[in-house]
Amino acid sequence: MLSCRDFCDRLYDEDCRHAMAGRGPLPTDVSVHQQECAGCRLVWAQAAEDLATLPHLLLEPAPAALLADLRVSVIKGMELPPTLDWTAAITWAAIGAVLPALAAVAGPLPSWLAAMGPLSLSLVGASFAFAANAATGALREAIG
Amino acid sequence: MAGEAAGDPESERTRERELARSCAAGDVAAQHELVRRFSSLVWSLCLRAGLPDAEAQDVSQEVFWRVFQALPGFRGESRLSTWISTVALRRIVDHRRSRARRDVAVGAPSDPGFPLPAQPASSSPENDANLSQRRQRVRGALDRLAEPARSVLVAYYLGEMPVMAIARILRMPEGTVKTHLHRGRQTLRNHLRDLC
Repeated sequence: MLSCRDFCDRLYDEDCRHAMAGRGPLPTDVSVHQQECAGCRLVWAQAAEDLATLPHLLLEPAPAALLADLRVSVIKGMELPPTLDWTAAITWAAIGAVLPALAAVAGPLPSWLAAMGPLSLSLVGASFAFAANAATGALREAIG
Repeated sequence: MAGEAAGDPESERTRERELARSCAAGDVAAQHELVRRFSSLVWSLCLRAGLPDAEAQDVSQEVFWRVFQALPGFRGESRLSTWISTVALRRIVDHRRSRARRDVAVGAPSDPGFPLPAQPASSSPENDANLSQRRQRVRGALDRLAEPARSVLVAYYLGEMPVMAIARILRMPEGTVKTHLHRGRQTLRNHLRDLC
């Protein structure tokens, strides 16, 4: 048997949502509790009323400009440019630039790296970090 | 909330699968239909989650871009509206995180100068007067709700998303989602009581 607290939690489960919307049967545990608790019958009725009214009250017609843009995007094949977070990109590039310099201070670098010189090392480090950040972002977008 | 869902749930589900399949196959008419049916839902999710108009417009476009990219993977296990809402909520959360990183102050809907959402077109003035008043009350109450309570309410009632999906995207226990729903609903009811 459900307690009143459990009953209030059950209100938001999918089987109860379907029952409130008339898309499914009333779950047995909820039905049993309702028969014995007038307070929870009222709570159920209010939740059902909210479920019926709130979506309409929260819905906003999309502005014509957005619809027009979306239509154009559909025609062009939804070619939206991938977004790049420039703050993160610059931060990672800076980290990539500083790390080789720190590595050089911390200890001797292999001769082929040392031959590049500190400026080139920093540029290469920044480029790698920038590219890695962009690739991670693209991968995240692709996964969704 | 599906744009124009009608009829029995199973045939509606079949129609949605057909629509998704046609869109994924590159049928432009089907893609226009999908945009027409769900643009208000996506726009409303963005607005009600507290994004200002300009950002809501950008995020809405990105949501549809992601929807079209991911449509081949739609298997019809949930309603199309719920699936699109899940994509939208994920994008809204990502957008907020990215905005927080950029530390851009965008203000709150109650701030002076905050862009107001477009008003819905009236179909019958006498009937819509009350509806409009109720909408304003609900929006006012929603705007005063702190995050994540606002996103939870919007995802559950407008996006028709299950508690489990909301919990996963917003990274909180299901019990916390239910608590936000319960308290948020009471707040909205209190604001609407005077009008009933």
